[in-house]
Amino acid sequence: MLKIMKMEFLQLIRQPIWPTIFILFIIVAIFLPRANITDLTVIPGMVYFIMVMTLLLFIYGAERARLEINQQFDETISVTPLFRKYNRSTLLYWLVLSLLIYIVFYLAIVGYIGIVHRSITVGGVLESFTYTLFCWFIPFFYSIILGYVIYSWLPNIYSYLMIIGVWFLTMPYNSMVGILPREWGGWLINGDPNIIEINSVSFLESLVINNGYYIQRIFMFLIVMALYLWTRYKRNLKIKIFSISLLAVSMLVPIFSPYVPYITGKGSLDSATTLSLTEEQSVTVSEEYQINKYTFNFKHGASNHDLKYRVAMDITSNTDHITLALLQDFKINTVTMSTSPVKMKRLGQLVQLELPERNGTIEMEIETSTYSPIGPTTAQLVATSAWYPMLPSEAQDPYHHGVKEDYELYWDSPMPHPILSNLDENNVNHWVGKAYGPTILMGKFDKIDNLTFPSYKLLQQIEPLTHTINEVMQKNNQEYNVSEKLPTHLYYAPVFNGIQANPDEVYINPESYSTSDIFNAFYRGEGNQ
Amino acid sequence: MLNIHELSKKFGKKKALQPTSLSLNKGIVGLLGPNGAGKTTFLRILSTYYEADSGTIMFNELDWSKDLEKVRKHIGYLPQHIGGLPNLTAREYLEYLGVLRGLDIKQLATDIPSILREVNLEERVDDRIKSFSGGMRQRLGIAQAILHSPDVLLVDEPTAGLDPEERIRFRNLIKRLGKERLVILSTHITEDVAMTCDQVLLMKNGSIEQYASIQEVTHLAKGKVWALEIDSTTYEQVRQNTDILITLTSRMDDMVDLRFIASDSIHPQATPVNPTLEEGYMVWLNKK
Repeated sequence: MLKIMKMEFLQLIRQPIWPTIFILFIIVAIFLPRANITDLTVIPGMVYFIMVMTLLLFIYGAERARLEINQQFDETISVTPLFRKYNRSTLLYWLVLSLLIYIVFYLAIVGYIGIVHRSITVGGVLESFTYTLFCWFIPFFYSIILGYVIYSWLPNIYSYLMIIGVWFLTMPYNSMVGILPREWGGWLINGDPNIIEINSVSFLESLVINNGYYIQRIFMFLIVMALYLWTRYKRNLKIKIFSISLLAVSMLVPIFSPYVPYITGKGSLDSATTLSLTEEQSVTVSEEYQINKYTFNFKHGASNHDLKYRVAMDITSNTDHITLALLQDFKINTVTMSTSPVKMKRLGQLVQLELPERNGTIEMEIETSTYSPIGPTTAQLVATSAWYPMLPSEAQDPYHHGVKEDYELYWDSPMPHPILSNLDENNVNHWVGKAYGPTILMGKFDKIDNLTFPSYKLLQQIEPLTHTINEVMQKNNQEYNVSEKLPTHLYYAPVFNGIQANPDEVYINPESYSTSDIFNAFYRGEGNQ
Repeated sequence: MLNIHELSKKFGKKKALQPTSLSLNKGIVGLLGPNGAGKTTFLRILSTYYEADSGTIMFNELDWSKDLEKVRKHIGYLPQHIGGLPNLTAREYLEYLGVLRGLDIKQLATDIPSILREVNLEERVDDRIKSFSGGMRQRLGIAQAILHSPDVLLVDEPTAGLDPEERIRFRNLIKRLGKERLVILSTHITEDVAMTCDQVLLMKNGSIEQYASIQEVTHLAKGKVWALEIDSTTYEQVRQNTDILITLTSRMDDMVDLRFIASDSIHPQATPVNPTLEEGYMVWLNKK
């Protein structure tokens, strides 16, 4: 096998146009965006260069097929006893070639960042290495095979047009232009399928390989292998049947996969996370009740925005009809009270319940598959948002109408990640405590004393933000003659656009907030801005 | 002995090879037929490049449908067009194919120079294939086909595109190789067959219609070949005659020497002559 690979490498090296193209391209890919290549977190942003590299490798694969056809090499090797070994060796050679290109590319970038910016960390290297292995190296390998397959089946100039078509449909750019629906494109994208989301909404998912990616790469591997086998053994009926069967089986993968590689979203956090009631709705609100304790059992889906939870609320009510706030992204599947079903009416972000008894425990089965702050490997459930049933007045203005309750949380996820909570950790994935609301932050966050912020931000970037907010608040305090101050616990989380706060905690989007957000969070009722 | 029984192949609806049965022994067998007769398909099936739709092929105890890898160890195949990998040298290319044939690397190191000597390429052993002429590539192709001393050598249109000197050299090489093995030489150039083969397979419309000796095929034209020396004006008249098939002409001043195939003499000066293989083949080809 090594001898066969050696001959393939000799063939490559003695035709130096390809090594030259690859090396020149890597130099250009670093030189052109060098001003932005400051640390390893920018790696997903190099997607355009990776797309061009995959196109080059598509063409390289096609050129390999063209050589075989033009030189009639196929007919000579197909009748050798070790033809199967040759096919395996060719695949292995392409794998090694892709790996070499990838390693040179990756090391060049890491080297550049290390030498010029000195911002390399071991964690960053491990994370970016895993990411690039899946989003660079594997697509490189698949591109060579696809290029080879396309030219083998269409050995003329039109195959290059076809290559461009296939490349266009399978490149990450498709996630931006949306030529194919996400549900299709996400499975077919030969690279990172979530470029647009991780750069606009799901910042925390950047550089993370979710379960769906693994399955998507296996799915593509099956397709690519089926096509390769079909191409290499097109005159062998048994293998042709096997290839078609493999292709058919691979098509079942997206249907039955428990995880998807893509993250859906509208590119905005506003609609999902902000509670706004019409005047008519506000009139119907009945808050003559008190919730004493919440017990949550979460099941994180680890796929797209999937989350399910069961919540038990110990309630004391003065009325049979109560109203709770719950964001529309959350669907209530069942509501019971002491095993009796409860009549429920959903009015947008309000839930009206007709209680069978005034004191007891209400149990709800709730799920979402659209709530943006839930990601395949991340979760940002913050105390101030109505992602769980809460008092409508608290949901609208948690700073002035926040109520403390007892909470108990159990978290279950097939993809365990570190979780930060405002409650006390009682056990692994079990938190208890009294608070204005429960907070769960799963993903890459750093915590320094009372300050929590996403790891992709440096403390030096966060501190000026806090300073600015304090300045604005001092100015507002003077203007309205009040003495509001930032709550003790500061959470910077890209969970919604703006700022939300209760008396203990403030949640700030480090990417997007304005002075009007500060006003809305702390100075409602102090007059018009 | 190579035994072929009811071998057939279709491409879509087109029957490329009609059910064919025959047995072939050691020696050189020419496979003659016009373009599109199915010669390449037949050879490709024998070489294992194509799978037959039906029928069996056996070489001694080896069965094409069961022992593919073993069969391939006994088959040498020179396809119609041979290019090789242009950036490899002749030695590297043969090493490559030797490895794919499961040959020992050390043994290859000693065998390759002698095989290249056999095909007159010993001086080009370390030259890249892209610098080779068409004839040299054909000879390199033959070298790869005999690298593993196969029992059956399949050669498809080997002399097409070769200059006369290369062609003669190639025929001699094939003749030498045919002493130790079965060689099937596919061609539409009858001269190649006449000069090298003992037996001939005549193929037309996907069907092997005749398996005969060179003499038998030649004999098909006995009494139908005529020689005639006429002036060019008469020649122009003779040329218009659709009942005859002119096989050879040569001009000297105003006179034309010609040979033609016809069932009867068409000119009082025409004299019957002994036919060649090509003329026998032409008679067979035009037989309805």
